[in-house]
Amino acid sequence: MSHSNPAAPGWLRLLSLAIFAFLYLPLIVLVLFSFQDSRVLSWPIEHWSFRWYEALFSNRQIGQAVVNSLVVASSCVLVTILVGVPLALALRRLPRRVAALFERTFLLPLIIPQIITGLALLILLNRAGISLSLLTVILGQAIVWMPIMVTVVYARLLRLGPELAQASTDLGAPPLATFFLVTLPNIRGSVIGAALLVFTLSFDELPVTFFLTGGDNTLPMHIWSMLRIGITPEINAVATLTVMVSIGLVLAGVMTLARTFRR
Amino acid sequence: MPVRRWMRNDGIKWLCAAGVLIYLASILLMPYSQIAIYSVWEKEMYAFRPAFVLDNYARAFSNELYRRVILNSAIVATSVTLVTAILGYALAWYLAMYANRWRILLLFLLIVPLWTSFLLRAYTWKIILGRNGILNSFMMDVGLIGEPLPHLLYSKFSISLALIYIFLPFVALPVYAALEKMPRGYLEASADLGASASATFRHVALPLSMPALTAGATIVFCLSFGDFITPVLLGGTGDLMISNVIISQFGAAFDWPFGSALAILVLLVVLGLVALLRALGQWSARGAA
Amino acid sequence: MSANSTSAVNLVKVGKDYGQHTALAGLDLAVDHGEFLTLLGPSGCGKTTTLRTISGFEQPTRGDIYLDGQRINDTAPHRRPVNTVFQNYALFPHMSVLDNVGYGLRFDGVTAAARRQRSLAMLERVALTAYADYRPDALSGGQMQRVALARALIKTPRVLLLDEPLSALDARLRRELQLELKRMQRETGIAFIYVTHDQEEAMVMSDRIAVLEKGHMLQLSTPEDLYENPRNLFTATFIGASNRLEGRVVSVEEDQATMMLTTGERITGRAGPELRSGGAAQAIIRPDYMEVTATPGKAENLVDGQVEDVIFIGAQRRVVIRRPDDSRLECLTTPEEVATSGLEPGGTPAIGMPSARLHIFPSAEAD
Repeated sequence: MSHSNPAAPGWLRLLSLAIFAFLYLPLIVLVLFSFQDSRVLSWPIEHWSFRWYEALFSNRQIGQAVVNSLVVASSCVLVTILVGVPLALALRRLPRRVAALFERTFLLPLIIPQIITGLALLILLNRAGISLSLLTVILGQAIVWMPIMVTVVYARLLRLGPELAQASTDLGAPPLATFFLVTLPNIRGSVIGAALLVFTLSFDELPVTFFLTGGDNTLPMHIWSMLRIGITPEINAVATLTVMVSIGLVLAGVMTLARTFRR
Repeated sequence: MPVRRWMRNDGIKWLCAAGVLIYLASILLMPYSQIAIYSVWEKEMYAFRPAFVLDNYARAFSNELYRRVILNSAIVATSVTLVTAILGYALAWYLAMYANRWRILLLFLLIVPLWTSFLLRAYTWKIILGRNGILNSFMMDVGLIGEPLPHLLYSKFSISLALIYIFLPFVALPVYAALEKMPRGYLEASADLGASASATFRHVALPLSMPALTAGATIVFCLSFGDFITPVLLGGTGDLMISNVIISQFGAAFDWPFGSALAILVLLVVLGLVALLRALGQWSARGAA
Repeated sequence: MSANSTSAVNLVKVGKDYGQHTALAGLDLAVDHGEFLTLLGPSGCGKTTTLRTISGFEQPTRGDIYLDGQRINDTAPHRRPVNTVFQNYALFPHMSVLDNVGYGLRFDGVTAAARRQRSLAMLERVALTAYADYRPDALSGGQMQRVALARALIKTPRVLLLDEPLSALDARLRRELQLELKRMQRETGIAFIYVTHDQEEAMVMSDRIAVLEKGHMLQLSTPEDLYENPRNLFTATFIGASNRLEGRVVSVEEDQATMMLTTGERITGRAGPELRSGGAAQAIIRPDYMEVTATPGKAENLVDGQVEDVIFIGAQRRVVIRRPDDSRLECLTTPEEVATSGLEPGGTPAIGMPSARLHIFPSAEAD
């Protein structure tokens, strides 16, 4: 509708502005303080410098933690794709009501506090005699983030409808060919979008990692231990960088997903 | 012949159902049921003995310390939920009803923080709320206060504030989606029939957006209730929440059965709330129809 | 086992149940090579289900399906030499028009170069060469339909199935494409099985029409035969316009029946099947066969009525008659007749119905 909306009441506009300021001020503060020269947190900032970023780049432990996080996040994405896409396809074949019920159950790991999922797996692995390592972390995170891949791909499949696959079969394509030539290209955008989101979430994940990690730390775990010891400004630098990367990935993910709605 | 026909159509359907069920059972059912099993075990010296006793649950409620911890979690979760519900709804209302030119940008600004690290977002409040932190320094510079306020940090206030900060979009986004989908015709019809703005809001907009609001609020409550990061970073010694106790049971205190019992309690609160929400939603849908 | 080798498609006692609901009840249908056969009926009559059992997307609960004499019940859909034009076109959005058309040839072992060549040739036949590199979403509805047709025909199937392909288009475009489809069918010589609920469309395009209702095939015949000689009440009223008169059967003699109308007149007409003396019945006659004149003359089956309206419809006039029981009769006549007989609102002309054109069927009994 192109009729003009009445202007918002003053208090509402002020409140909304205040809320957005509330949402972003801490992040701005974080970025500002990462460039602060002195070791002690103080306001106003006297000297600016890159020294904490420099310290960061020469910090071996953090470097290793970042590598571990990258490994875990990428593997997690891989697992969610390899398991999640077939699951979404399987859901597609079931009658709508049943699929809806299953979908709701799928979403549980997202609502249940992650530490519970983490410790559930810990107990399970312990009883099975499997020792903890990055592999167990990947497993745990995959379980928590699987619902995102499944629901996004499933929703896309529903929007796609059965006709395209039927047309492909009708024209002589065996089932596998239909999947690779017709279904997959049309869900590719959703898979990529969801993958970017899963990557970001996995990269920042703490609770499940906390329970399931062996000796190797991921970046969040390392930051957590740094925080337990005391605040060092290096944390601000790490935090700023991590936040910037996350924002970039989310942007990419959201834009990719948005494009699939145009089809 | 009949077998082959069955195999083609229904066969695939059953296979898919089986696959999904296998996944649900192994990945979801089994891990969580392990917690339930452990929760009724006993701790004996440095080992855990399979048993079926409810001692762990009893301890959770009888011991003063644990009762306080559960209460802390409930207080924090409730206050966080209430504040995010109100503020989040207001923000969603503004976005849906008024913000035309900037809407996409504002929505984007709302979504982005959701995907940045929970840990880091909680951490930023440590910088802001400390004795020497930004807020105190700023208020002193401006002359609002003479001395730094001590309890901004390391209190339930700081825990709740950080959680509100983190979870606000969880309410704002679904409510926005619901309000945006609501046909404007409803509001116009209501006004046309003589209802004041607040009456229209109460009788038309609010009921229609209620499912989204309750869904968002439920998620916020569940996640706040079970958080362990904010109490550690921003809470005082008396502000421990239930997840902190759970973690120590799996760490230094080394009492897995007790920790499991507490975890089951959290699980029950979460699942109970979700079930309640669904029941309410179905009941109101039936009533409205 | 009546596998008729001269049929393109032969359905023998094909039935389909969905739990308690019977979508198809024991259908027997033989489609000849090179014919244009339409499955006609209202929604839910089973016409689409029939089509899908032939293409393989539905498994019949009972019965056999033969293609060129070979039983194909157990052949997977992608292996059947049968292709479908879908109602919503189902063009692949991520491929160009050219790639869409050539898609099916991949699985026939055709090389990429040959595929391209044949696709272009096919596009030329549907006059869409200029759009070869376009994406389907850049095309209009009519153009998309032609691409869908090209995509299916390029595989030279034994039978082409068309599932209400024109229902999403406006009336004028529909009429254009109807003629085009008919031309295509004649040119390729491939048997077309067409599904629609639009009886006018069926009459225009088909060599034969199968009328379906609630899973049963009521009549299978040429359009003309269905129009002139409907064998049951449903077919008589579903196809073409018709007038209805209600009453009771007085007597039945071979293929003639006499009926007493509720308004008291006695009429004689052609007897439909299962007509019972004393049973409730309906008489059906088409508006074009009604005789409305000033004097009775040799008119048969006179009934009472008063002219309510005389409507101009181009080269003809529609005379609306109001009967004593307040029901209406429509009669198509010429301007000359109107002038000669002085037909005008309020008049009471002689209203006659030739018994050769009058069909009497038992009323649909309430079970």
